[in-house]
Amino acid sequence: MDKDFKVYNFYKQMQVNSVILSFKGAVSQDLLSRLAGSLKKKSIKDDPNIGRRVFGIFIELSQNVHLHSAEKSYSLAEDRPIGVGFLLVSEADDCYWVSSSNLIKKEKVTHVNQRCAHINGLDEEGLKAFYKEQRRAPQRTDSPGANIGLIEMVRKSGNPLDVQFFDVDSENSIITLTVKLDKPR
Amino acid sequence: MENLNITGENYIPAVNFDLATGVLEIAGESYHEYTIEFYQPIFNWLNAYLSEPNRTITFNFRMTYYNTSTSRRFLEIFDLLEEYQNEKGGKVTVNWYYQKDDVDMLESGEEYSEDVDLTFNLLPY
Repeated sequence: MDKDFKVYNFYKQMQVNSVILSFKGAVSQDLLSRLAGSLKKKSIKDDPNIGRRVFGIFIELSQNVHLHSAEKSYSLAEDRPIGVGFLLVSEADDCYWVSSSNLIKKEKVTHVNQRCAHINGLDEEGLKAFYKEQRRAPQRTDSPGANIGLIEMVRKSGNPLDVQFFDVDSENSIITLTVKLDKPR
Repeated sequence: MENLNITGENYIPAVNFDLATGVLEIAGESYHEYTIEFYQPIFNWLNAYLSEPNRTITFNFRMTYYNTSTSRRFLEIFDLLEEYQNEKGGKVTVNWYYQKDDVDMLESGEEYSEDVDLTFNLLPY
């Protein structure tokens, strides 16, 4: 830890930005169900549909980290390596922000970036058609994921994906994915 | 062949497939990260069950949440049922239950009903 790092500053920044949940580490199934369950209880109070969407988007982002993070940690309980990353949810008066951050291999950056740009460029009907087409496409052999999580998050939130990449070293970058969910007016 | 019963918990849905009545039900939340593994015994059971022609089947979905990975498995189940109806004389009814204020679950049911040729009842509760 850097000698200038102050836990208090970190905590205060989260308070100021109304962070209601943050976690860094290996995203296991059990941990995810506990975090998601508590998030659902908090967010469902205003509007059940928004609460369910916060819950669903949080799960999709978390499972992206679990499956795709380039940083892995071996889980005894699950008997396989699972992804490590950072999950953050904050609540403003008019919206929720749900985000994930994790390491990604540099060679994957262009593909993920282009996929996000493609999805962000689709209208409602285009998103529905792309979702159905991708759900019908054969299961990818290199991943147990459905390959429709990003589309689902845009459809459920009605907002574009905010995706950013930051250099780490010659092999890895950090990807941050943020989804904004507006509260009903 | 025996009934299939899986107790639901956390990210695992409750499954109750009844041989005698032909009522197959899945309920709760499904967001296992490895749905191919979790759903394998369910597909094994269904494949055995559907090897016998002319059955009358009621398939009840009472889901409150499922992840996108599960969404693929559900589509595969619907494909199996559609094929059974078209090629093996099966009579299949799908009851898709949704909490009456859950607009997303209703929409998900509508979209499945567009994708397969099965009798689909969308039922609020």
